[in-house]
Amino acid sequence: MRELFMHEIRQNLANGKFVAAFLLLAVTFLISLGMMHQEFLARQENFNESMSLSARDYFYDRLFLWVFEGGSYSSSDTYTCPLGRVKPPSRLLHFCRGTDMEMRQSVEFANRIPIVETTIMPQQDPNLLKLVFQAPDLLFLVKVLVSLIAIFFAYNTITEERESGTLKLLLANNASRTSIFFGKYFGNLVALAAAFTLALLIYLLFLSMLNPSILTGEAPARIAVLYATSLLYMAVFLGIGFVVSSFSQRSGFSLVLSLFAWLLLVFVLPGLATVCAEQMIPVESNNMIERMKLEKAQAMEREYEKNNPGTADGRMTGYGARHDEIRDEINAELAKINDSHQRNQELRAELTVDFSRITPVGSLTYLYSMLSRTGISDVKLYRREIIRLRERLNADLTAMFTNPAMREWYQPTQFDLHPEVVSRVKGMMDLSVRTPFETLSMAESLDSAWIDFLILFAFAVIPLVVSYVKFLVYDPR
Amino acid sequence: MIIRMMSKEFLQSITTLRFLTLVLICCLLLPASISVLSNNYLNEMEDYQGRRSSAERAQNDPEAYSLTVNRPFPQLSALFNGVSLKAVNSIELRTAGRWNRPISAATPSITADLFPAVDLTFIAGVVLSLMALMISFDAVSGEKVKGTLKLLLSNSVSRASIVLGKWLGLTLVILFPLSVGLIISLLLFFGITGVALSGGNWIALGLQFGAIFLFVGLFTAIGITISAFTSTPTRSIFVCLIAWGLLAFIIPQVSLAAADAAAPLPVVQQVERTLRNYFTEFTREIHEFSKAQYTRGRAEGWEFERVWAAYRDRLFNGQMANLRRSNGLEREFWLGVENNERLGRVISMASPVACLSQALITLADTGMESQREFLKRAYDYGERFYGELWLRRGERSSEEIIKSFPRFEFRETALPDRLASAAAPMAVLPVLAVVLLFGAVARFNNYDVR
Repeated sequence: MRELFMHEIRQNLANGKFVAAFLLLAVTFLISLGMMHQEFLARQENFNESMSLSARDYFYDRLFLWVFEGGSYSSSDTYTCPLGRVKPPSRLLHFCRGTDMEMRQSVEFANRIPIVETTIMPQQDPNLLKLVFQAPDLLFLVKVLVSLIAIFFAYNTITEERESGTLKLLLANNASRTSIFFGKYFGNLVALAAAFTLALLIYLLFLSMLNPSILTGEAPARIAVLYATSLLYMAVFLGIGFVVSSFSQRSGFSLVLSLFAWLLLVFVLPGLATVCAEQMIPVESNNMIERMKLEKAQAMEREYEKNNPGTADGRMTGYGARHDEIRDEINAELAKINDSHQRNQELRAELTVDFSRITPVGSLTYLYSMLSRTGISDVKLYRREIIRLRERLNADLTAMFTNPAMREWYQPTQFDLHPEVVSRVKGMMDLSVRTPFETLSMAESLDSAWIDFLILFAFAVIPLVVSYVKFLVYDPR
Repeated sequence: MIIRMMSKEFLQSITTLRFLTLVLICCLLLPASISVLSNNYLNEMEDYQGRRSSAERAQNDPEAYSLTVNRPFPQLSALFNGVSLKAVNSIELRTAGRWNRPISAATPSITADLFPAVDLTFIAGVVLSLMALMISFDAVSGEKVKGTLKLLLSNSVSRASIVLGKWLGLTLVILFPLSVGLIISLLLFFGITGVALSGGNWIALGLQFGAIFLFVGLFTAIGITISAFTSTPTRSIFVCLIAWGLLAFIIPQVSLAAADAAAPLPVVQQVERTLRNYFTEFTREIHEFSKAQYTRGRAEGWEFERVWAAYRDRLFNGQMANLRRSNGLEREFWLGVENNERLGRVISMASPVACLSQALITLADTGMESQREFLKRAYDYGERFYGELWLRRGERSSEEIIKSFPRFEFRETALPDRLASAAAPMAVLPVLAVVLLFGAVARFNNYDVR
């Protein structure tokens, strides 16, 4: 078996399979690194910009105007409460872009107290060509390229030996079928893993030069788990190639059949998970939700005006600012719409992920996104944080506006704010900007990940067993 | 002779299991993806209808304060997404606060980036190219290894006709199940969405399918050329794999990076900072002004009307100046972005996969040009609207102006215009195919058959 194993490795080196795989992986990995790093830098720059002094000044200005108007006169942009926060990008963004787009948007709070959050446009790359040729992250390359290369390594291992007649010779040479099979399997696995590992090491070397922070904290451990996951995933496709090869008699057929399996697993099944989840939980677009909120508030205000004639005034409708009496009711309704929308979105996302997790690609995507801190749980955590911040600010704002001394501090005719108000407002601003974001620890990220490891492992072992059994009765003629 | 070689290759291939798998891919995978896309299309259409009717309601509202400009969802974007799912598709023109407010395109779900929808552009560019290579990679080297090539050549068949016959036969082998799959998918698409394509879109669709067919022919030619330059099938398959990786992923990405280096993108954050400063200046000014007016008016006992008129004039003047200044800056910024984009597109035409996706999305009207056109028209419309508001201030209320202002019309780009911009990337495909076939024939003429 050992000889067969060495023979297989030598052969892979000799016919250029190993070199081709290594070259392809190394080049694509480095290109992905370059493009993703640009994206990362843009995100970082964006974050710095929103934390910068000029941004702070701008927001102070708007905040004072807002407070000056008595906690939002209307919800035109001039007078929204500009408290909000931007999440710093994940240090491991290069590995998986994941749900980064969701966490990229800076949330702003609008309306009178209690403030309600509004969705702000996510910062997207202005160059539309980059949406068409989206930079592949490492996840994409592992998902598509590594699996394809694994298929190419495995598809003709058995059929080719049969076609060239060497299988007969091997069997005649007193080599047991078990040792032939496992010698081949491990020979290919090691050659493939070596090509991947080398390419990944080069990738990591450059990444650590560009972004040294990946060497600190939990990041190395996360990368190690990512590496293990990728190897498991690779073994899955190698196993599939072996099954196909042992069930077919000719190389041409086994190639096309394994490509079919690859297409099905990599592209089609994950898409079907999305459709199933969409059918089960319908969710309106963000656009529609903003509209629905507006129309709900307008309807409530008009209802109130119908019951109390002569109360309509010139202020804008739809923001709960027209009538103090029903303000709290309206805001509660708006928050309800918002929260249920977000809950639905999260539910659907979870369902999609859970559906897709029964396939190897789904498991891989789940593990990669969780380990890169761009997964579903991270979005959920982010949203919890936003809600927590909203409650906290609401409490502070209410305390300020209901304080009896406020009458003294705040007089519209003065056109300037009392220093006490200024310092309180600055405190709130700093609270919303400076409080660090909580992130999931690795143990929390991998909370239910054992399922995915199990699925990947099962997908790697079952094909192997099937093809082994088939090979025992394989007709070498 | 070519015809006989072609029919031999065709008949030989369709009796293999390889062909059966190809049929399965075309008739199962393609329709499965199309049903996913049709489903997305229905959602997008629903969203568009909702946006439109609510914009209509808002415009007729007695207390209207905004006009909303919506981009209709292009019919063919269901099959060729392009940028339509991610770019701005709605702009709100408010009469209070900051004028002009772009609203994000619908972000359909959190998981959209985890499991991106696979559209026809992707299937054609990435999947079909791979299939074509897999069908043709052993056309020459396989026959050599099997020994049939010697027999074939001893039969006094010219070498050129062998290559050309193989190419035609193998291309037809793929096109046959592919067209069946496309027809099934189209029927499925029309059945699920109930959409009625306009005449121009039918022609565009025909051209798109033509481009896909050409593309398949090109990749078969690439496979045959590689096969003629290598001696064993295993080697050809790995060269094919590298070529595929190069054309589908590496060149498009590298060309973007090259374009960034040659024509640097303007920095978004810088523009945003300037825009923000403009707005801050404007609000400060208004604040100072109203403060002064208030104190003076109080001291001199002005009528409310007089204070209000002065304030409104100042506000409108400020808004208009701010709008012009910001729009000018934004235009300049977009010009820079466009330059970078154009360069990236030209460089990426080194890869036929990039050529195909450019041609497909341009013909579907979901490309960059039509998105830019939409933004340009929307901003022009906004300036007209605000100009009207500014001219008629004091005469008519903003609600009346909003109600009577003509609606925004945005039609799909006319077919000749789409064709004009899709012509260059489309022309690359046949030219490249002819060049490669020449190379393959030349190489095969002194191919060692032993």
